[in-house]
Amino acid sequence: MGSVNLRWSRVANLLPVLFGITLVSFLLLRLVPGDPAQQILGNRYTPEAAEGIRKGLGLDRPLLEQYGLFLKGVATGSFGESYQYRRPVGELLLDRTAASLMLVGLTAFFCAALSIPIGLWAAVRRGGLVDQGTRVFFTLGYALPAFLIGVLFILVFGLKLGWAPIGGYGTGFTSHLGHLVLPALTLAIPFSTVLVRSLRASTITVLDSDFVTIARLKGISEARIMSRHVLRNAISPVAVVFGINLAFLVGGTVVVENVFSIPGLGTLLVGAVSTRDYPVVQAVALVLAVFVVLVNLLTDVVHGVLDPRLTVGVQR
Amino acid sequence: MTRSTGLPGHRPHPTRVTTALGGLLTLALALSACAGGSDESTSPDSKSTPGASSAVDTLKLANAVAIDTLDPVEASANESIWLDQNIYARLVQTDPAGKEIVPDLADKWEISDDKLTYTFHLRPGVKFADGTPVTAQDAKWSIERARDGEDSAWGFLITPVTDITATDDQTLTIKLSTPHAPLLADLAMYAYAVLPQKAVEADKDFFNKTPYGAGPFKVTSLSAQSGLVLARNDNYWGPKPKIATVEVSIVTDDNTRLLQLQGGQVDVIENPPGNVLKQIAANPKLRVDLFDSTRVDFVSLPLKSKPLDNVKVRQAIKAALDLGRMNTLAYQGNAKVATTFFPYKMLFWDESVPEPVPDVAKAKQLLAEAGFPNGFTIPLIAVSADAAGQAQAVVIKDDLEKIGITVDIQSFELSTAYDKQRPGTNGMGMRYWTNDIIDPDEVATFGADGDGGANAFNSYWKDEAVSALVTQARSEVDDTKRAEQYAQIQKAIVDQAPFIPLSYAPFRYASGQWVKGFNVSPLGNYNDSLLTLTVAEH
Amino acid sequence: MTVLDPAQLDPGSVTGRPRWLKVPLPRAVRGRPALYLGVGLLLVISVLCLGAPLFTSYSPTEIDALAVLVPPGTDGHPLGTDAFGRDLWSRLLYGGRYDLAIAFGATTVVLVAGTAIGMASAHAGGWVDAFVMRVVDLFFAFPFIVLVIAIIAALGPSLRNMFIALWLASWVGYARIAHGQTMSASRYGYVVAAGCLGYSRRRILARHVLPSVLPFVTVFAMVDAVGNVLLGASLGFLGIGIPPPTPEWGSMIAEGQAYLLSNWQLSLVPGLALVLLGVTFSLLGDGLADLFRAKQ
Repeated sequence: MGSVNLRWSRVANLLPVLFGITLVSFLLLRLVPGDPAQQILGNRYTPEAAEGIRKGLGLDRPLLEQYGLFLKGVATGSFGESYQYRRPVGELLLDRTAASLMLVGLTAFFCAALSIPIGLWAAVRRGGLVDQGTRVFFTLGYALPAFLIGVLFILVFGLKLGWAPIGGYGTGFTSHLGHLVLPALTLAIPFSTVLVRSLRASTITVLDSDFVTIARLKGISEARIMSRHVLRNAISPVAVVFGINLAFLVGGTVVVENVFSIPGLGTLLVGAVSTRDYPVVQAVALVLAVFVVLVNLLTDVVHGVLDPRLTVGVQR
Repeated sequence: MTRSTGLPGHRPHPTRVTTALGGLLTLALALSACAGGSDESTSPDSKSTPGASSAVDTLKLANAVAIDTLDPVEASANESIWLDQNIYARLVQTDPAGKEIVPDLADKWEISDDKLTYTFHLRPGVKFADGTPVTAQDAKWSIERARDGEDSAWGFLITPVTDITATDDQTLTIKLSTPHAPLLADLAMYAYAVLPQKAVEADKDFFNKTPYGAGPFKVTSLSAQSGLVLARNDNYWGPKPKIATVEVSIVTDDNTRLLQLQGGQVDVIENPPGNVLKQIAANPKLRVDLFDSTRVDFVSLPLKSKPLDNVKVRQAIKAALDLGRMNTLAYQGNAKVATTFFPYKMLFWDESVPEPVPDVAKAKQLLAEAGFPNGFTIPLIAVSADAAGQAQAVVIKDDLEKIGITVDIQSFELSTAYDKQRPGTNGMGMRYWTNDIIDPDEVATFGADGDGGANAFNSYWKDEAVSALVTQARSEVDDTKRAEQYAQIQKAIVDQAPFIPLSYAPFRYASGQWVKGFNVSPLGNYNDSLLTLTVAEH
Repeated sequence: MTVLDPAQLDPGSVTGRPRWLKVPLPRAVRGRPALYLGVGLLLVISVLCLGAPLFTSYSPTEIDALAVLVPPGTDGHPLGTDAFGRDLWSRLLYGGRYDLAIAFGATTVVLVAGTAIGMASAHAGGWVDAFVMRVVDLFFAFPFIVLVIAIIAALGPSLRNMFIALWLASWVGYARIAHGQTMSASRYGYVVAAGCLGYSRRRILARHVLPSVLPFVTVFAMVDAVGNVLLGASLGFLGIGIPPPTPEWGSMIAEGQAYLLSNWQLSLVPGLALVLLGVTFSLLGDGLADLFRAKQ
């Protein structure tokens, strides 16, 4: 019953946020210098040609009207047409979102696979070699920029060993996944840093708790304690963090998408900002926001499921 | 070991960790290997004929920039334009060397004595890729669409055209109000490609699906962000290409593109980073290709930013710049020092103009004569993503320091940079120019004609005599007279220096030695070379 | 933006009681080396960078067209030169000043501002709190990279504008942590008691709530500091970083990207310097965390 109430109030909180997103993404770029017509014309810019283009794009109408049109479009499921690609934004989004989702999903998988065993081990063998060693290794992974790690991976696994393709996205589902392994690993490493340390911290807490001590005294096997109690309780706060940062990931994958040539939302977004492709920026910002919000909601639910006596957010 | 918690009976689980890690690694590598092993067909959503992915009849090209659109009227990215040249045909085209106009869809044409009427005869039996015949009506419709389209920026090229008539299915007549020397060059431009009218009008989304025209290739699959696949057009009037398929992928990261070439995953890449050219050339399996281009880098000295309105100041700046050193640092010596603002060796390029030699003493003297013996401070607006431009800006700053001018480099991303340069009041600006046609009319209008709409490359410099010359040269049909007029125009720019051309940068490509015959014209087009190119097993 | 640590968001969520009360003492003693090592490393880096003229005779911005891309060890260039002939070691040292500035400058401001906002909002409660938290949610949901690019596009790439962009993009993390902590803290007996005793709001916040908020935001700040420098590098990669010829590790890494396959040290050396900075802050963070825990 606690979780159900949680969900509705959370949903209610979302609506102003989403509305705010549409407003911010609409206004932000228009307040910044830079004319989409300039981008389209490049060196052949003349004021007349620019006027013509602006008119064709509907940019000469009052701001409020443009915003209204945009909202109306969103309500009917149309995001308009991209200035740069001359295609409906919805089509562009569909292709790119699939790629980003797969990348993020695979990254999440690697994060879990990397951080859970290592985090647990580091907690269980506190102060040991693994504990200290992982700190250094993960700081390395965290502080080295993604494009350095990415190129290193390509050099080693792609060129020298030939175990992985050198960038690109492939055709067909398994090929896509195969192409996403290296980029996902590149993203997973810095992400895992924080996860490992949080898992370590929360595992230590649980291991030291009265609950576990009593269980041990009762003679319950170590394996059972680990799997039944420690894992479950330690993971739930990590799940929250996982969720929050996962959401960042979709927008923050630009560098990796660039290095590995993955046609994802990150490069679409950044490219659109540079070329002042307003419809695309508005649409992608909205989609990302919805994604963030959904993921947060999901992790709240998962969190609630993993530890039902928990509530996120204080009742006053 | 129990030291970690101090409690008895506590056994950690090292095996769990190792198995998990081991399993993860194996799974990951297995997945990669699946994809890596099958990288013969890493083309985007390839629905091309099965078995066509054998290395011999497919060319894999990696571009650095995404395709914006394949509508030739609206495309602005160079890479899209060069692809358009493979898909669509025009009435006439430029020859592979980029110097002359040769027949394309029209195999002959007549020009009336008063130079006001052009009559084009279409090749008998010429067809679009879908088998329907190309008619003069298609040509008329396409040209008018390019000229009059709402979003089109190309009308200005053919303003003297008063009438376009399809006198019959095979004949197109164009009438002019005044003689227009660049007309053929204009019609050879990608925007004036002949499109299948019925097909384009029938489908609003024509250019986003599998567009085709009357060119040597047609599109079989298109994904603007990951690339496209071209297949041979069997209805093409010209020589049949030796390759059946071209797979174009978009790889924006410079290093990744190079690594793909080194790994044999692609055959040709564009824009390898300048500093690795030696490395590529040293690799026996690869080669570096530098092709002359129409690119001219320049720095604008807008007269609206004081004290650049003083011609002596501009000349002083010009005298202080060491273009050779700039070349070395920005292009690793692979570019040429610019002399005039006309692209290198283009039609009527004045080869008698000497390369500028830096003369710091003279520069200081000019500056003193202008009234600024102690120099001044001025901003320089550069584009942050343009590595060469950034390098040039740094050298400019360094060079001008020697004569007392302090340059404040302000880098912005492209849109903002151009926005700030436009009013001309924000100081110097880094720019570059590339031609769309082989006729000098375009660059002369944009660069030397103060009334030409671009304010002489944003310098707001105007010289009535020069503007008159530009207009005159446009309708001048005598080549000798035209050459003389353009020589005068180029000299005026050299003397008055409203902007200073810096380098002629070539197109950079790298390819495997297994590819023979890849060639790029100064306009950037490689469609001609694709007709005779061969790709061997590798 | 930086990845968030859950320990700082819901400290009481797992066991219902503050974590630091549960950690056994031996932990605290063991934690000290981290703090000392962290401080020591920071001192070394600061001395090297701030006292750069003592350690190198080359200028970080002087162009030498004759010594372009020389390998490490030639001609008195211990790490070689870059594409303009500038000495890499010199650029590393002088550049470190900018990065220390980013790591501290960008971070301290958001630390103070974000924490203040979070605490004040939580304490205020009611619709003020609801509104502020919605704004925080908005910032979280909006792709920060767009925000950063837009800000830099509007104002132009420079160190100052990068600060502004970083401040605007990062303050929400601190606000959320501080908010969460303040909310939990308000449940503690001693805070409620203080309220009953009639202590002023400010006193309650400063004396009783702040000590429980501080450890979390400080540790988060340590991670954020490195994240900020990294963001600078990513922006450089995208072409809107700190403009040339200013040396700064992030932009050096980004500039060196084009030479990765021929002169990899141009990117890798500042990259490793960044890692060192990261390790330093990580040690500091862990040390501080342990210190706070021990203090309780």
